[in-house]
Amino acid sequence: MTYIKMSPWKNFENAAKRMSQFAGELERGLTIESGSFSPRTDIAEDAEKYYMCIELPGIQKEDVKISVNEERELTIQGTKNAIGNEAKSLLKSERAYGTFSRTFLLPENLDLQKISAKFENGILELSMPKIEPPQPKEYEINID
Amino acid sequence: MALVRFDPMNGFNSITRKMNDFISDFDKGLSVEFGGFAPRIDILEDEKTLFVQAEIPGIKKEDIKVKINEEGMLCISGEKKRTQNEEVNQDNFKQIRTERNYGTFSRSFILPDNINKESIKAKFENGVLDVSFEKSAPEAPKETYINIE
Repeated sequence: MTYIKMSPWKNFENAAKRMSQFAGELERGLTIESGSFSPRTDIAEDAEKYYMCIELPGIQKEDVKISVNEERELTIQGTKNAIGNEAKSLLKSERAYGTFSRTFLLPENLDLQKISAKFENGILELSMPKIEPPQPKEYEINID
Repeated sequence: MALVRFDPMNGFNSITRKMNDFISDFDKGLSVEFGGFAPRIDILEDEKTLFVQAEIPGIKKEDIKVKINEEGMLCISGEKKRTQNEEVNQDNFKQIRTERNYGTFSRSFILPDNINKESIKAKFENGVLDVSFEKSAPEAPKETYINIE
């Protein structure tokens, strides 16, 4: 008979760690997507920053919204309408239209306050400076 | 035993007919494509104009070529290169995720008869190339009489 150390936290810890490893890696990671289509996104980094390029051709700047929440989820969403094409009839359709939304989980070594974005030629470019990830705080506990 | 008339051209006729049907059907959107990827294209029309819109975000205008070739087909081609903005530090540069397509592309389309090829106009904004043609009345087939000597 073997003794197995009991740990009420153990199962949760493993599952949570695996989920966050899986979801948090920008390259292999899951992104949460909804809407009619998913704009193609490239992500790159150098020593100082992360860079994201999202293809959004035929969209106006006002139709895109970028937001980030405290859980480090970056969401890019909006609507792509066929402006100027309403009175025309469609002979061939390959372009995607409608709503889009993609959420990425950003890594810890990135400063959420300093994300900047610009939109030109149908490409939305995000520039995200890196920082040292916050160290978990340690508190010493006095024993009376 | 059945007698079958010998027609040396028979096989060729049906192949040519099938190829012609295949190639000349502009409305079904058949097109010839080469290259690393194929930009998505919509074709639209209103009463007076035919529009061909191609999504090519992230490319410079000088890297796109629009032409009408010797066979009267519209050809949209070019090369989409990976560009970096200037602030990127090339040391320690790592591409983490690639979903975008890059490389050369070429798509050609047969134009319908009721198009005035010389009225072609092209503009490129917001990553969309918009090529337009004015419609014209289709030419009536000409009749010519042949003198018999």
